[in-house]
Amino acid sequence: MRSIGIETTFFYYVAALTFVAFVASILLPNLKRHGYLDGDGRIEENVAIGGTKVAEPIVRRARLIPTHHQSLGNPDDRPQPDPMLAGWQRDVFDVLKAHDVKHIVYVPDAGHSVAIKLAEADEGIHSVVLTTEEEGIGYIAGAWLRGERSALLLQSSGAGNCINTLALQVMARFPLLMVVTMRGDWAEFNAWQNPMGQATEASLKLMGVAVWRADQPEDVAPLLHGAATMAFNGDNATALLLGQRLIGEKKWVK
Amino acid sequence: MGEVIEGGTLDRREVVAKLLEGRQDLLVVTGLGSASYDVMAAGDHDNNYYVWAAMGSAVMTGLGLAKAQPEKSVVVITGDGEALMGFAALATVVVQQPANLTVVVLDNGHFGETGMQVSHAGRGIQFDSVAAACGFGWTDRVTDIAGIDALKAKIADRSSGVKLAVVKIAAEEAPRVLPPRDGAYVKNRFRAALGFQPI
Repeated sequence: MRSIGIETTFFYYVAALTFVAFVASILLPNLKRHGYLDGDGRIEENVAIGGTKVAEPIVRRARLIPTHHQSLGNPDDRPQPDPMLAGWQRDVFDVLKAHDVKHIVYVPDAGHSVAIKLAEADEGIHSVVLTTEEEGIGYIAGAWLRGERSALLLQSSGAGNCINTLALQVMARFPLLMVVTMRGDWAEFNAWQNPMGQATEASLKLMGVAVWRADQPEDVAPLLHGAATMAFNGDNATALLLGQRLIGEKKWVK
Repeated sequence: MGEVIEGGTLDRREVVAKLLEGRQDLLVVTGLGSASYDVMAAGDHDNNYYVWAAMGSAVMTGLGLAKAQPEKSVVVITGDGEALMGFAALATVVVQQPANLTVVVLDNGHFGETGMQVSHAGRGIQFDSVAAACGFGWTDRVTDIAGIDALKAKIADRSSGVKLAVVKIAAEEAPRVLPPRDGAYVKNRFRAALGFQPI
């Protein structure tokens, strides 16, 4: 008898908790807003350009990996969703698309591979492979003469290649949005990457480029949105550095 | 290769004036240095975009413009030295195959702005051969003024892919005719002519 009493009490206790949770889920206000998880596991951000919404909201799938301390380890060891569908690499492309970028000009890097693949597959985007990064600055100046927006994807070593050519942006003043994957920045195996990697941010700033850096996956979309907004609304040169800790250590021995 | 070869004989001002004479909605990008002065001497125009720095960027600026504005013809007029600094851009251009882009290299075989040192072109590099090897749809080496008429007729052609002509000009300095140096002004003027306002 006694054990039945405990089971019955426990049943009513659980039932009461379930009921309270059910009522609360109905009565509480909708928490879906900028950056909060939606009920179906999607994240929506409304990208406004010049105060008016000009593009579809960025919709990202919920990630498996955004926790803080895990990223102190090697990101490659963590469970990963398909990067073509979700994650910061996908975010790069989605933010550029939301800002109506029509030309993605690039020198390839593994960290940009998702955005490059998506750009190559997108009928509405000219994807332009460069031999060297400074080619992209002239290209972007030219496309802007006809009112079209571009983004330059490059590696930190390529920032060095751009230095003199950045004078074109300083003098003509046109939107120049750069997305820079970092090497020689954190846990770099190849020390030959370190000199330019360590000088990237300072070099860009010396040439008048406004610079932000993302080391956490969840920072990529908002920081790139900010950099794009200030480039396209201010005729500015802006760069988002994607830290090597975010990208992960390159595996040299497989 | 390696020895100094004889340069061209054409007068650069005559070449550029003839090339741009009677232009309609042609969009022109100039490389820094004498090519800019030549285009300015032929008559300033809202559809001219003069590049005063960023050496090597003229061809790529023309490419970006051509890709964004496929309905209009874009001509890049630059010197052999400027084009050499952006040499690999020829490969980038070919991958894009903009049929509305024509690159005109005024080749005097020298770095005219810096004391007339002999350039790579002056030591045997032929731009038309390089462009043809890269895959340009049409190339020409113009050595007489009649060749400018053929080049001019080719600019509007959309069936030949991307085009390049090297024009062999004499290594002589013409009087400087300076285009506006305010980059933002030239940019805004160019954009306004295409219907775009400043931000």
